[in-house]
Amino acid sequence: MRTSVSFDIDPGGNICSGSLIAENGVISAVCGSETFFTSSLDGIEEIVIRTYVGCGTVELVPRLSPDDKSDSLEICRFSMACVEQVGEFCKVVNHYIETGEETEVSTAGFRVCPKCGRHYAKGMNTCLFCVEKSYLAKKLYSIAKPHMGALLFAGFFVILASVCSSLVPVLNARIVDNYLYNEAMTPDARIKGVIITACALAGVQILSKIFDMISKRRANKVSGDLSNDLRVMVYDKIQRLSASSISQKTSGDLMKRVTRDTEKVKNFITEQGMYALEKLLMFVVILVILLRISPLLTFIVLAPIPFVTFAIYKFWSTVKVRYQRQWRCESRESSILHDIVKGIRVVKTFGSEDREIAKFSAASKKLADVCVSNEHMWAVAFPLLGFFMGIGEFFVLYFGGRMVINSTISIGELLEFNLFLAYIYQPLRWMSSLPQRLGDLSASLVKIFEIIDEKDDVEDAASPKPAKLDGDIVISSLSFGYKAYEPVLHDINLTVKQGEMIGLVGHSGAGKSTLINLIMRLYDADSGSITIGGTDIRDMEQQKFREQIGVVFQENFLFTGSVYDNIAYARPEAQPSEIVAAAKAANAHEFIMALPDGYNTIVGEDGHNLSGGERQRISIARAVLRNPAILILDEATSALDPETEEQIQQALARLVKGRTTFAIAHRLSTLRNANRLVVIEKGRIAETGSHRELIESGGIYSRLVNTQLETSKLTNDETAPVA
Amino acid sequence: MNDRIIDEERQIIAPETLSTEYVNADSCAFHKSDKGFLAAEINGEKYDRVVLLRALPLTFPDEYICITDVERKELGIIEKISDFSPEQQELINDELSKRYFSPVITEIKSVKEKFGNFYFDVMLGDIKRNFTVKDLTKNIRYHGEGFDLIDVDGNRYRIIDYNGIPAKSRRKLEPYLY
Repeated sequence: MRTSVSFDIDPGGNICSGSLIAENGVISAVCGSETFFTSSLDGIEEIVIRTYVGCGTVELVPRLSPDDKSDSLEICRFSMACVEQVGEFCKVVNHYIETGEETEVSTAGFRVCPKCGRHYAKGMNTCLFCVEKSYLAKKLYSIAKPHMGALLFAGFFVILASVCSSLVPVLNARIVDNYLYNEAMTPDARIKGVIITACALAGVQILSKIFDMISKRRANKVSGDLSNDLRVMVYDKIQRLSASSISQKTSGDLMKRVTRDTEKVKNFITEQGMYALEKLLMFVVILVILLRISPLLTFIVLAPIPFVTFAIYKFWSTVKVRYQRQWRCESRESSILHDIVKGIRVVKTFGSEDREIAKFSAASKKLADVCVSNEHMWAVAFPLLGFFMGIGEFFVLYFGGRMVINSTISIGELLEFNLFLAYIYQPLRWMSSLPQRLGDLSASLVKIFEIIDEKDDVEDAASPKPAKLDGDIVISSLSFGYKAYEPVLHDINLTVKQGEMIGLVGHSGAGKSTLINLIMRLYDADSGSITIGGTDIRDMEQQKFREQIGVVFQENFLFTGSVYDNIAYARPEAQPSEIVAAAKAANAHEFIMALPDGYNTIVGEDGHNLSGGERQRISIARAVLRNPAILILDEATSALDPETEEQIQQALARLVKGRTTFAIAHRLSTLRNANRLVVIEKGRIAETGSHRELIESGGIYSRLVNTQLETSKLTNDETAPVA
Repeated sequence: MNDRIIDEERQIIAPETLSTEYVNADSCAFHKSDKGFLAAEINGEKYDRVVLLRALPLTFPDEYICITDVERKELGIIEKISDFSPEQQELINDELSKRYFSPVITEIKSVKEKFGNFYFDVMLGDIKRNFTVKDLTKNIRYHGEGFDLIDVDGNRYRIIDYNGIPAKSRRKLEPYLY
């Protein structure tokens, strides 16, 4: 079987259009008509990717290759545009090397638009370059749909209010023509007619206001509901996003989507959507009335409008770019400010206030210049556009006046025409500003749907099994990489007995935390499986599964609230007696009781009112209260003074009793209670055994212990008092 | 008086803590291995495969070059490439060009902004290329007279001298720059 993918850098470092081919156990790289690399896969251990800056290489690593990989064979180079395909190719080839089985390159993960060939932005499943305008309309409709009834109801009353107010010019014209300038009627009849028409005028005005009131009340209700729905929809999805997806976004960015972007969409629907029908209807009705009064005058009024609308449309594209620039300047200024405020202690200790003031002043000056320039343009352009749009009015006065003198139309009709003119400019101005409003809306809509439409990386099975975490944990042939082309864990095989405590040991970046992440199912393995009591964790219901796992990290997050709330976070329905018991087990009770408000003490934002050791003990109490089947301790006792560490060690010893526990610690002495130690080196299990067994074997663990002993001896010598 | 003491202390501390030992043409020699990798002899120690990394790729691309093994363990630092012989410089630059790939933009055909993404159509010499940059302010790295643009895949496209590209190209990009 033949498998091939593209690469794009030739051996000379030039951009090319090459093919990387695997066929019948032979790898070749072809560029144009030249095959510049061919090698059999016999004697090859694996094919690997090495990524650099803006590019990468594919290499064949022979079996029994030295550590420096100096006998590897470089096949070809590629830019990052090809990295996903080349990564998939390597997976297929490695699978062939391991099993002799031929598979095809999966194109599922390729983020390339089939239409334009451009690559999608991260986290997007849609090409925003090719996206049709109807895409946004459909998205907008999907949001507004549940509120459509209420919106139409409010819109109907808006129309009624408009109809009432559009009767005002008609009645005014009637007063002038029928009563003020009607010599045929008696003065009494004319006064009576004026009074009746004036009453009718007052009536329609009152009705107009009542309808307006009803529509506004309804609109406010819809606005509140819509805003709430949108925020909850985005927030709900953010909560359900996978760990890998969350890690690609900043908290500020996510918060903006929940607050600012949802608000913009809501504003558009309630402020523009509801009035759209009214504006369009008003435009058509008034156009008909104007045409009925005088087609010539109507033409005069409307003649400049297409030109002005075109000018406005063009003008908006300039304005948009200018305002984006202003937005960037604002963003830069606020990020400098944010940095300085957060790092004010560093600024002060380094005495660099003047430097920071200069930096901020420069950004602020730039923003001011851009703002002034934009406002100048706005101040000149907007009145000019307004003037040209309304220029027809002057001609109407001249031509209309002539028509009255020639008795082609009456004074009342000219007055009616002029009053209606004001009404027709309103929807026109609204329509001319629509492109800008739509542009603004589309940016927010896309940001919102980027989140809502995001596919879950870690999905529940179609019919998940109940999550029961009792039984042995069996990890078989587990391989995983955060990027598909950069494996972090290779072929991990491990069986952990129920209730056993496993200490995970290894250098930083060896893959210990990654293994923990996979056990917690924050990510799904690329290949292999993890089973608990014989059931694959991918078949278990995620929420129920995680409810039975307790985690204590090095840095534990405490929510704003009381000590009690933070412990009870693990089980909100817990009784106060259970909270106190959990705190006692975590050696936290004593310090909590020393706080003025005891368990009701407010911990402050991120628990900043407490010390590191105190925060740690609260998080242990949280884990105790949860009573988890599986416990994860990720550097739970690092960065603490010896006394606090001892207290926490005691608490942890109580916590791990009878539970399957995975503990990561760089300070190896903290793993003294572990039943077994697993040493992970470069993503593989290098050694397994008890402390004594591993020391005797003289391997990696033994070297790590010796290094730590030497460091600690050195530290003790340095800190020992001079005799 | 106190200031003077502190200054004297600084002078005492500086030579020990703020100096780096560099490898030079006398202590380090490069050659190509039979597999085509860069190999080196550093302070008498032979390495069959080394990797070169720029410490300051944007501000000093030809200085402060770290020599590491494939696991990125540092073996030495070159202060200036120009301190080496022309043949050695060629080997060093050849290796660096393999690690840092930034095709040079000679002309910008168009820049379109859609939904916060910037779609570039550019010429890299006589090769046409299009790429997408998400959030331009976060994906631009200034250096000297120009800058690098980083696209959604992690590719870098370089404008060596912004004033050196055609004025028409500049006008297309100008509104989007900070």
